[in-house]
Amino acid sequence: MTTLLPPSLLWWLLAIASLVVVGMLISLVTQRLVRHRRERRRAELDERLRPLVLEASIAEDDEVDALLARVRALDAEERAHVGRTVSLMLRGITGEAADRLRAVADASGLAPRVIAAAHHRDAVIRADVAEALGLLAPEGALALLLELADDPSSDVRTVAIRALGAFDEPAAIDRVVVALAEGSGVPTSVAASALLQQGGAVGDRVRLALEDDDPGVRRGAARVAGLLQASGTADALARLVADEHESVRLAAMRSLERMPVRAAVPALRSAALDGGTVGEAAARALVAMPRSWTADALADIAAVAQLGVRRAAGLPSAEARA
Amino acid sequence: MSWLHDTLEAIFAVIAWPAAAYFVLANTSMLLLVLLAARHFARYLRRSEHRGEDAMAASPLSLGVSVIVPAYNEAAVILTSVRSVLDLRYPDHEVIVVNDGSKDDTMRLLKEGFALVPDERDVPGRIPVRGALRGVWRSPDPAVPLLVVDKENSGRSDSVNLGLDLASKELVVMVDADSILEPDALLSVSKPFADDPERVVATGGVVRIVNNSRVQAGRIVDIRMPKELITRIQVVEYLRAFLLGRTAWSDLNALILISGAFGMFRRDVLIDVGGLDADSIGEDFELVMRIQRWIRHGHRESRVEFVAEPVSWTEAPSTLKVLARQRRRWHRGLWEVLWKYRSMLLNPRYGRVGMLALPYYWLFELFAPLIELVGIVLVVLGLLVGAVHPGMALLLLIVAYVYGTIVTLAAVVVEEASFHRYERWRDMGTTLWAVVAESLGYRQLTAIWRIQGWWAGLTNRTQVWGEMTRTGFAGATDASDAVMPGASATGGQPDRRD
Amino acid sequence: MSKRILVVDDDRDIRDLVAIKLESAGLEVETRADGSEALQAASEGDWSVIVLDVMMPGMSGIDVLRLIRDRGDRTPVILLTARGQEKDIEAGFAAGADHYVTKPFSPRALLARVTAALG
Repeated sequence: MTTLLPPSLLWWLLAIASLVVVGMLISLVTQRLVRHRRERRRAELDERLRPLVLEASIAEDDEVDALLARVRALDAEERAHVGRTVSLMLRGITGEAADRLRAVADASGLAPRVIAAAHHRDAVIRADVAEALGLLAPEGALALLLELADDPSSDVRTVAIRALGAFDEPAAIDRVVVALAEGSGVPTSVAASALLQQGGAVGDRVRLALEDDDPGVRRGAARVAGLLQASGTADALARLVADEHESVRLAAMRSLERMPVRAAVPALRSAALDGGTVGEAAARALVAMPRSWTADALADIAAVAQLGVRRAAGLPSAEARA
Repeated sequence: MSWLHDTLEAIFAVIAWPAAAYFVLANTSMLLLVLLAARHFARYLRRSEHRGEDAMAASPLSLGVSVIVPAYNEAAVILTSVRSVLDLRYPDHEVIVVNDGSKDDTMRLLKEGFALVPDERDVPGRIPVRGALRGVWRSPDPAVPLLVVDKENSGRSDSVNLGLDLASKELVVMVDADSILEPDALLSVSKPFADDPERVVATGGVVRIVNNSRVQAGRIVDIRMPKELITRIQVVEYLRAFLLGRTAWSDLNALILISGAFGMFRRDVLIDVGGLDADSIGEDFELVMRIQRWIRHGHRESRVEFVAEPVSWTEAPSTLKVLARQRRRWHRGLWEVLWKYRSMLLNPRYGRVGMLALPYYWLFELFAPLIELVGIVLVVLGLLVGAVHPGMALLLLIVAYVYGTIVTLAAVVVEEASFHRYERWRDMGTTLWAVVAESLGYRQLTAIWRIQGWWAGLTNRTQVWGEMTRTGFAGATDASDAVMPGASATGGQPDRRD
Repeated sequence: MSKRILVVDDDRDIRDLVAIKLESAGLEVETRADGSEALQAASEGDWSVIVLDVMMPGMSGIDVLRLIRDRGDRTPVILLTARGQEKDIEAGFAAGADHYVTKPFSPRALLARVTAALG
């Protein structure tokens, strides 16, 4: 059987193998060279353009126009670099300096480019657009983001919702609340964090969301209620301790650690005595409340609750008390 | 000697082509995994602009993480290590150090370094733990969420289980005291849970080799290739097996191993399956297999995912002796777990795990060293007595080693295109030489060790655990007892637990 | 004599933006990119205020602060903390910080804090 092996097969294999290896080596070296060259180019551009951007960040009102004119006069590659530089800087700062940088982004043509790409075929690009819109907040950003929040790609919707966190207009808040629903394709943590970022403007909508039909909305609202501490939400939150969905109960209890509500104590007590993960969460909530409200409940827990629940309640063990 | 000649000729007549086919299949499978991983990275890196890690790092709504750190005789690094874990960038995490009956100053250093006070709360006891508990301590400072558990020595798994029992957050991650973590490690590895909380139950991150890199205050500040050839070859192995292999298996939804050096789990699921198996050598492998079985028995939507971002850096063996011990243990662990879960093999009930991953591991990981070594012996003998056609011998060489080297080279190219962590040209040179050198003795040696480990497992000999000498990160690097299934001769997947 | 401010942050953008803002107010500014450099600068120089980022690879800002205070240095320190890391604020004050500013922050607001710390 071994004589069935034609020698030419071997030479062919070796030849192919050699070609492949050489090809890969070339690829390795080329990739690295290209990358290094790109880095050097960027460093060059940086040296020239960074001072301009930094100057713009502290520019007085009467100096701004001149600086923006200089930006506009740059060539395409330079303007792209300015856009990149500004995007990175905007992640770290707010206030007047940030406003200046946004004006620079506009002048460099970044904002118009981003807006133009909002309906790109590629979902990755659309998601990048959503991210940039949140950062740059050009004219019309909110409307575009609301559109992207209904994009067929869940990736794009998620980024859009996250970006909407930077806007506190009612339309933005409503859209974020809707994204909390189950099956929205947007992770709860993203939508809830956006809601949290919208902060005080959310106000009454939290109370309404706490009573929504969708368990996902209730859960998200419950989770942020304790952190937002909006007035009028206390009772609704307390009621969610007995919600039919476990995840909603857990979210409510977590919030109650931040925002104690006396009306919730009885429900928390019985959840604690029932034990399990929910019981432990209930115990943690009770511990965070004023002792005068919870003394009885804690005494009951000390007496009969599961070990895990007693631990969550911070109670010393029987041996320790002895 | 003509009987030898005739026997060998007869053997070759039967096995030559099947053997060639085996190696072609093995290397092609690995190549497919490499290509799959390359596609994953391409997509992953394109999305880096909008992944939102900053938002996640800043959000108080992120799922809480309990970091469990089992520690045995880690006095040289424990304080730096715990500090660096406490300083990880994450909005809500606690650290639980479990002292596994250290004979050195580990416990004293912790008590003094963090001014620990006794924690007198109950121990829930949800998971049976063998080592006797000596005491639980905590930091009195509310800004330092640290718990230290002191117990008798009973092994890493047992210690982790005790830490698991005391953990209070939704997610749990196990980290070795000597691992160096990236500052965003918790963010990266918890992201799949945040993105898909209903389904993801376990994630693993990439483990890379730290030898010879500069470390400061528990963080890596300058990445360098290791000095010794055998360690450099391991870097290449890890790239192929960890970075690429696991990424691909994760995409196929057939990931059966997460490195013990950095695996994150949902706490309720981990408690549900009973924690780690303290008797198993391949405990991390065993755990993920158990979780995969748990998934198919009533939680079919759940998944185990792999995160491509490097999260953990660990010391690899730099001497043959320690490497040998490690590979023996890995292969023995591989054997024991594969055998334990043999009912899942080629069982459609277990989906891709049973139909794809397990056959791959049986065929191209477990049996590989045996086939490779037997093959070498037969071919060499055959050439000596003229019983094998030199062309056939050359063919086998090509499909086994040359093809294998090409696949490994492909892995290096993918790494260059995606993460390119080693920036020096000199490092590229040493990497390339390591790729070639792997087939010039390293693979054969590891094959011998793996067979030894397998034999020890078959004959059920008790293993001698190694001791770990730690000289801090500046000094020589001797790896501890890693417990993961080893690299296959055809270029497979070592797994680490360190 | 011009007041000297030391700004420590691993993020180059933050360093540059803060430096230029403070300089525009007539202050003398020097920057460092990591903890160990910061420590060295702190011991060598005569600083009026130190602006210190908490989340840095290698030595964290809180560790640097602790070491500075251990040396008996009472220079006012303003910490730059990350949003979501509230425990850093507590830890920071415990270690001896005077103020904190949460990222992302307004450079103008930081300037106001620095001015207040100087006065």
